[in-house]
Amino acid sequence: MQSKSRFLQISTVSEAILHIFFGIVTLACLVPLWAVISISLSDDNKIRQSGYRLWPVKWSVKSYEFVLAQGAAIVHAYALTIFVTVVGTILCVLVVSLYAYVLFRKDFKYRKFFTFFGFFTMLINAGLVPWYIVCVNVLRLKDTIYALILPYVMNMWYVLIFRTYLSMSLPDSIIESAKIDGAGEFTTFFRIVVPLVKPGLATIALFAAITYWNDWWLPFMLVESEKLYNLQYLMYRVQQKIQYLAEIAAKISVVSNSPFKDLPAESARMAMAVLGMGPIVLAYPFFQRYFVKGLTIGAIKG
Amino acid sequence: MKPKKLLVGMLVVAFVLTSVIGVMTGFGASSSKLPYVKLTWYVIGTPQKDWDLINQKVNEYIKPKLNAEIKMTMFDWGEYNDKLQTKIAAGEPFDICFTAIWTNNYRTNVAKGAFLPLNKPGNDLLSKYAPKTKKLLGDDFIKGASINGILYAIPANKEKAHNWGFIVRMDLVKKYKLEDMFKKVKKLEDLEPYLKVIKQKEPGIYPLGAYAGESPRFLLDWDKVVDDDVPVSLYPNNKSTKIVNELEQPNTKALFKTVRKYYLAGYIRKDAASVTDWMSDLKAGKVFVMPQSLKPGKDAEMSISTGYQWKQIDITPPVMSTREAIGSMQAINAKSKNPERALMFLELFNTDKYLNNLVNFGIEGQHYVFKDKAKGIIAPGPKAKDYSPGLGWMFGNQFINYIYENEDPNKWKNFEEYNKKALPLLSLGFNFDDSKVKTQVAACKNVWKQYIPMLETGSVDPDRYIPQAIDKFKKAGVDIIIKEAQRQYDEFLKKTGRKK
Repeated sequence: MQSKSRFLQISTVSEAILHIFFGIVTLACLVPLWAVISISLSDDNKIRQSGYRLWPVKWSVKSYEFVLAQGAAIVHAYALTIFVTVVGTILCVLVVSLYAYVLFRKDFKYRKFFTFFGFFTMLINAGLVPWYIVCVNVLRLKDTIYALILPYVMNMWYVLIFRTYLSMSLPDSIIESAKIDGAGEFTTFFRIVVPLVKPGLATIALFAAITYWNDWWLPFMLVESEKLYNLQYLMYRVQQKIQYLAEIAAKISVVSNSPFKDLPAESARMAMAVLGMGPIVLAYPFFQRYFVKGLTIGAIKG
Repeated sequence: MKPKKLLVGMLVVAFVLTSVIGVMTGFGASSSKLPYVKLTWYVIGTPQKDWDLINQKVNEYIKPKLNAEIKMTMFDWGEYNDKLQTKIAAGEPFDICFTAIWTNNYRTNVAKGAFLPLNKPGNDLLSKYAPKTKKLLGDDFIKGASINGILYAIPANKEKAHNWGFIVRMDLVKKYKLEDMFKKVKKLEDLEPYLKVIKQKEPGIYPLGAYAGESPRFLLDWDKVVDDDVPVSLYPNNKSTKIVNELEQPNTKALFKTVRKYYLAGYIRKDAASVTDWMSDLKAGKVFVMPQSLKPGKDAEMSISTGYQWKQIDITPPVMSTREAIGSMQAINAKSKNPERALMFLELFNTDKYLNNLVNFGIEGQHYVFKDKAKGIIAPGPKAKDYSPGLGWMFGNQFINYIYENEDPNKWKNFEEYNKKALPLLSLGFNFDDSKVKTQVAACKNVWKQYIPMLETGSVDPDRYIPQAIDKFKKAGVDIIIKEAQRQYDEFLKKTGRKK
């Protein structure tokens, strides 16, 4: 008979195999991250000579100095990104949870219509140019801070997830008893429902926070003034520039070399990536405690 | 009081003709009669910290002259093309934008009808609102920038030709006493003894710069008919009007053989075929000789942007090709609400020394200081890093630009001589329409990516790989492209009356 593991009802051998397997998976996630950090702390000329290493070659914090010397732009973009993420996440969670709660209530008359209304837009959308025209000409979002927040506030996908979660974890009788005790609709929602579905809210909040934090698409489409460039977009722009100049080097060098003058070095790019990861990495442990059980869609009712 | 009378007379005439704009002997109308408008202008470059401040100064200056203000927006190199394509697709009514063969593509936009035609017969806006600019550019250059005989954007007035050659690191030349190379090097093969010296004495340096996309291959200076990465070309000396596959030509083979020899001798970076970022090697001081597209003062420009002293060796003679003409232009949006005023602004911008230099160099005493005001020689000022776009080649008219003190004070004079010396190619103004051969062009571009970087850096043996590449190009349909190009080109030659 094989010995049993101390923790689980499986044999030590299988446990060892599992541990090794997940150890490798973990490493596969961590090593690239480590490489980025180590390159960002290396001397750029040394990288050029000896290639990438997993340990900083010729320690140097020059790249961080370079990035921070872009000074105002980076710090400003940081602040903007944090602001947009916080405000956007709060709004998104509010809108999504309210919409989902209404769809969850079986006694809501127009439930079917609003479910379809949201679902339809999820499946069929008009395409990029109409979206752009609506944002710019109808909503007048161009070059405003709202452009970075509003387009992501309502997300039907989150609504469907959250509605499913509600119908799985909230018995209808709770709503009824609240009604009998004389609570109005808003009291019911904020005082009774919200405390009970914190894990669901946390999940939506995490989704939204990551979406906002990692977004470069909105500034790319809707923003023109540097003041409203967020962190990811600044980085995206550097990346684009490097790629683009490599592509058209021959064409443009006939005109001028000025674009090549201000290309950031390899280590500076990595430094930007490290700075860009910063706070959002810390968001995970913060939300972690709410994930009691995973959220699944359409799982079998237990 | 003659002038007054004249003015009154003019006013009466203008009134009778009910025209809003009285054109007085080639000048635009005085601003008092023009309604006040706001223009928008999009350009490409590395965004500058004091951009808005300069924009404000520009507005202060043009308001009394044109009764207009302009909002200037600069997008970074990588984003400009996408941003402008979105705006054009959505039909935004901006007024002026930068366009070229390498971004916000001029030909494609004209085909879409995105730009306003500037000299349509019967509506010659250019002569009416920008006569001085028209004169500055000259007929040859305007022809080069025209599509089917009509101009859709105003090229920058700069060097109107290009030639190819090398730039050489002066500190190493002095160190090893190689000064005689400036007399002796007339072609690629002449470099050998000098590369040898550097190879022996400076182990950390690549004697010859050859990279994917920037290599000695350009010394052949093919006049490309379709695109840079399609081997369909004309000989660059007007010798013949026959379009050929450049890989099949003996001079291509000879050049690749020489490069191969240099590669085997260790003069070229080992992994060059996969490296495109040659500029960082130049900046890191790792290259001795680099092939470059040249113009007068290119070496000084490179010295400024790399931090090492360079000197240039001209190899090919200067030619004026369509590439230069459409390498850097400002177009007026077909959906612009005030195209006349936009053109008047460009006219002012191309001819007004103060305005042009304000946008190019910033504010005197802050971003630059005068070393010699009469000659227009300047040096970076205390706040130079907040505003130094370095885009003279894009902004209008280089001949009225100031010159940095570490550049040749005769730079513009040299430019003019260079422009005069240049041979206008017969193909000037020929724009190939690839609509019938799009698939073949795309296929050829893929083959190019596969073979040319290896060949141009000497990484593989040309005797074996050139035939292979030619075969692949044939399979991709290069001959179909050549046939179509030849047909269009013959038609073009007939239409323009250019015959050899």
